[in-house]
This record gives sequence, structure tokens and C-alpha cells, in this order.
Amino acid sequence: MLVARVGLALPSIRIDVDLELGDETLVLFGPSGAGKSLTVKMIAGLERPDYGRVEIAGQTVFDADAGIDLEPQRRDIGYIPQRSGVFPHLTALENVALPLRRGRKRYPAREAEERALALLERFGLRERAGAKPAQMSGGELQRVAFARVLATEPKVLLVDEPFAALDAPVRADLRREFRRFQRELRIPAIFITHDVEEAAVVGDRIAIMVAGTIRQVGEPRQVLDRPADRDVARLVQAGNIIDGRVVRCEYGYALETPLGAFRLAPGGWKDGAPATAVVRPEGIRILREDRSAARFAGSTIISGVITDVADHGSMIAVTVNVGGGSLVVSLSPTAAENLELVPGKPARLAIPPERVHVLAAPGA
Amino acid sequence: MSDPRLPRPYVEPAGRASRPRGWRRFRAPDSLLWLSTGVLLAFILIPLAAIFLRGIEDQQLIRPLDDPLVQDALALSLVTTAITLALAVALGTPAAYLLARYRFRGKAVVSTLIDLPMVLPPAVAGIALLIAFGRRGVLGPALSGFLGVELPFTMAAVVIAQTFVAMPLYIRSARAGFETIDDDYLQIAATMGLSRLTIFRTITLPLALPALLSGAVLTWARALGEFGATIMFAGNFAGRTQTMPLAIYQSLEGGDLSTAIALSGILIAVSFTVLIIFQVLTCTSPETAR
Repeated sequence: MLVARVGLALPSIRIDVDLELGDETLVLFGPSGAGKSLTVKMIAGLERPDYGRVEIAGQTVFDADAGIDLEPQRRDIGYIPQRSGVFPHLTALENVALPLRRGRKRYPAREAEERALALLERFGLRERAGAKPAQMSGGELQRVAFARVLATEPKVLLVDEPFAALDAPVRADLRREFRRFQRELRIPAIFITHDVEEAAVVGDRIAIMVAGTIRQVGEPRQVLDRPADRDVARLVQAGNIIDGRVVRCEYGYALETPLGAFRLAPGGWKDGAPATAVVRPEGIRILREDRSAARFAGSTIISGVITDVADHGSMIAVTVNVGGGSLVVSLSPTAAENLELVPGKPARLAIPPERVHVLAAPGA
Repeated sequence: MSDPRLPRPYVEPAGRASRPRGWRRFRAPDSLLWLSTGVLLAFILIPLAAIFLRGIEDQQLIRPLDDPLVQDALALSLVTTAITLALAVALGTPAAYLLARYRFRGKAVVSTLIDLPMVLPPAVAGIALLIAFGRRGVLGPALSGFLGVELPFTMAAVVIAQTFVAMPLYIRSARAGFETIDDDYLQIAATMGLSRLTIFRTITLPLALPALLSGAVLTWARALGEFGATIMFAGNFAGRTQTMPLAIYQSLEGGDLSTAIALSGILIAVSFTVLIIFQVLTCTSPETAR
């Protein structure tokens, strides 16, 4: 268990955060400058909150009212900062062995070395035990950092954008590796990132942090599909953000927008209320010209002209001008095979009502 | 013959085919850089070489080593600079750490004061020390009356003069060394459960070591060459306060140029040896802090 209710007022930012974690990975996601690193540092005891309480595995390590403030040394945390922080003057083995020799729990030299070697082995680094950081790749350094953090036998893991500086393939490997060892470890972990994909891959839950506060917490799919407000929608790259007005029509309710009227799933709609909706690019279907739209009877059908087709490898993003604005649609390369996706060609789009997510708090 | 009215195709002139590309195009001509560096080197080497050439000519380079005056001066210089270095490291390291790692009111003032002796003319430093600690100085009566200590014109005075003038060099370098250590390292070390002392011993010190060493070398070299403050505060007494530079001065004053040359040769040799050792040490030392 990790409970952190902390606040801190700085000239540049005001942080007020309330987090509660079980044995899971919570991704702290947000733009740079949102206060993610500071939050984690407050939990680690590296930064002193103005008020609040931090509890790690049942032990109160900080309580402003009770005057409790344990130093980082006495909080059972494993902390990995943005850059791996592997000590440059020590070998990989010495790095991992250091907390085993001089940390919270100390082992005799021989045993510390054996344990360190076993940890390096676990990350496939046994042959690199004698290497100095200057001779290691970024991916190897991060692995050493993880091996070292496990050596401290932490009760909470705090990881601050550990893969941000790595090449994409290495990053993907390390995300998988992180998931693997966090499944074995099963302790509360806070993982900071500003990469949506990473957030979704690594996190059991995602907490969206904007300007010092948490805007939304939820499972990745829920946060991605149902962002709470416009900021969150933008941050999770929800795609199409459309402003309009709820109107009543013969089949229920629709969102009337400059792009057209989007049918809404049944709900407690109020006629005439201004609203903002999010439609994820993968929620929109492109219909073949020669097929009837009967299959999409309940959906909104909008026609437009393709203005841009961008191949992202695992998906293809198509921009369609529907008059009054554009919608971005994404589809898999296999789905795109049967369609003629060329700029200038017409396209018919189908948007199922359940894909039109109206923001609870539209924001600015 | 081609029609002169037609635009002629552009042909790269033969001479420009190998023109450097990219940023190299903006470099100053290589010859100019080498020339000016060469002049600089000559400016440094000619005087040094002159000493050795004259010394060999006079066959005086080794002889003064038998001279008790020279022996005394050399011994005194080595002993006092060693003590000065020890003092500088012992007193300067905590100060450097404080300045590098802490924020406090009046830090700029403290920092400036510590640097001050470095830019102060040594003669002024000597006078200041004399007026402070001299027999009739501000603290002199107290020192001699209560503690029975008389500093001026003793070996202690030599050490004080050297330390006063040379210590800032060590502090500056050490401070820079401590400052360049990434906070991440120290924070991780703390979260690993390492005590403050352990962090200092196993992380901070090794990472700052190259800077500490180079500061030590600079300080030692400055102390070895100290002249102005020493002669003002400690005086020039053979066997007691007469360090190598003072001995050189006395020889020259006494018209004994060859002894002065020989003494200088010794100093150059000693300094050069230390510099070489230092270079070797810092090249093979572990990676410096990021």
C-alpha cells in the first residue's frame, strides 16, 4: 500500500496530489512541468511537502501535522530518476552491490556480491558485471538501475521517465521487462511518463496530472476512451475533439456541430446544452463506396473528401474534410487494403453513437 | 568554340575541388592557429631552456645541492608546502562542499571573501598578515601574551603566508568538482539507504576526486612559488624562513647569478615532475562526474 496526500506551493507551481495505490503500477502521466517528478520526490523524501501525509506499507513516513518526516534513507523506496543514475565510477557489479553492502539491509561482502551477480543475471547482464557505465549502452544502464533498485528490496517503486532517452526498440524491450519484473515483485509502483503509449503499456491505472493536480485516474482503456476533460483528451491524443450543442431529434439525441450532427448513445441529455465530444480516430469506420451503409444503421454517416493519408506503420491515419472541419480516422493496414485511400477521393464515414464520448467537464 | 551568348555550364575549378565542406569552411586557416600557438610555446620554453643552458654552461646545475643554504631552502620549501597543502585540503574541502552543495544567506559574500587572497597582491597579503599577527599587530600581543606564540619570522609564518595565498585555488577547484556532481547520484544513494557519511565517502569524494587533485596541485605549486607574502610576513632568514624563491632572490641580490640559476633549475624540475605525475594520475583515474 502506498498512500500519498501531499501538497507543495512553489513560485512556479502549486502541487496538490492525492494518490492511493495497491500492489499495482500507477502511471503518472502528464506534460512536462506538471509536477510529476516533484510529486515522486515528495514521496521519496527528497523534497519536503508543505502539508499532507505519506504512508508506505502501513508505516507513516511523512505527516506534516504529526511532525513526522523520515529521511529518504529510512523510507523503503526504490527510486530511479530520469537518467539511470548508475554511478559512473563503479562497475555494474559494484553499483548493484553497493546497497547490499551499505544500504538498509547489509550483507557480508561475499554474499552481497553473489546477490548482485544474481540480480545482474536476471537482467541478462552477468557478462557485463565488470563494465563501467561509460562502456555500457543506455538500455544496459537502465537494466543496471533496475537490478540495483531491486537490491534495496523496496516496498514501493518510484520510477521517473526511465526510458525517455532510449531508442524505440530498446524502449519497447524495457517496457516489457518492467512489466515482467513488476508482475513478480507486486509492490506499489509509480511510473512517470509523458508518452501515452508507454502509459497504456506499463500502467494498471493511469493518473493524468496537469498543472499540479490529478485530473483523472482510471484504467488505461477507460482514460484513453473516456477522458474527463479537454486537457486530458488532448494529452491522451484522443484525436477528434468536437464542440457543439445537444439537440433532440426523431431518433433520440445528437450533437450538432459544424462538422455535422453526431448521434449520441442514450443518456441524460439536455436539449440545447453546449457540449464537447471526443471521437477517437480508431472509433470511426471508413465505408467502401460499393457497399450500402445498412450495416451501420444506428451510426452517424458523414461524407467528405480525403485530404491526407499518413502511414504510421502499425496504423494508417486518414484525414477527411467533411465540410466545416476535418475528422481524423485511423485504421489498420489490413483494413485499409480494400479501400481506396487517396487524397482527393471521397470517403464515407460511420461513427457509432457509443464512440462519441461527451466530456463530463469540457474545460477551456 | 562555344557560343559566348549561351550560359556556360558551371565547372568546379580544379583548385577548389578539395575545399573543406560544412563547418570546416568556417575554421580559421590552420596555419594561423599553428603559428600563434607556436609563438606562445616559444614564449614559455625559451626562458625555461635558457636557465638550463646557462646552468650547463656554468656547470652549476648540480653543485649548489652541496651548499647547506640550498639544502636548507629546499627542505624548508618541501616541508612548508606539504603542511600548507594538508591545511588547504583539511580546511578547504568542507568549505568547498558547503559552497557547492548548500544555499544560504550571504553565500556570495563568503565565496568572494574566500577568493579574495587569490587576487590580492602577495605583498599586500604579507603586510596584512603582519599587521594582524605581528608582534605589534592586532592579535600579536594576545598570541604572545596568553599563548606564548610568536608567529612572525618563524616557519609557522611561512606556512600561514603560503596557505593564505594558495588555499583559494584549492577551494575553487574543489567547489567546482562538488558542484558538477549530478544531484541524481546523491538522491539515489540516499534512497538506497546509504548514510550521509557513506554517500560522501563512496560517491561524492570519488566523483570529485579529479577536481580535488587538480586543486591540490595548483595550490601546492602556488605555495612553492610564494614569495611576496612570505618575505613580508616571515622574513628572509636562512634555515628558518628562507624558502627556495627567497633563496633565489637572495642569491641574485648578492650577485651570485649561478646559484640563482641552479636553484631555479631545481624548482623547475620539481614542478615539472609533479605536473607530469598529476597528468598521469588524472588520465588513468576513473570517469569524472557527468
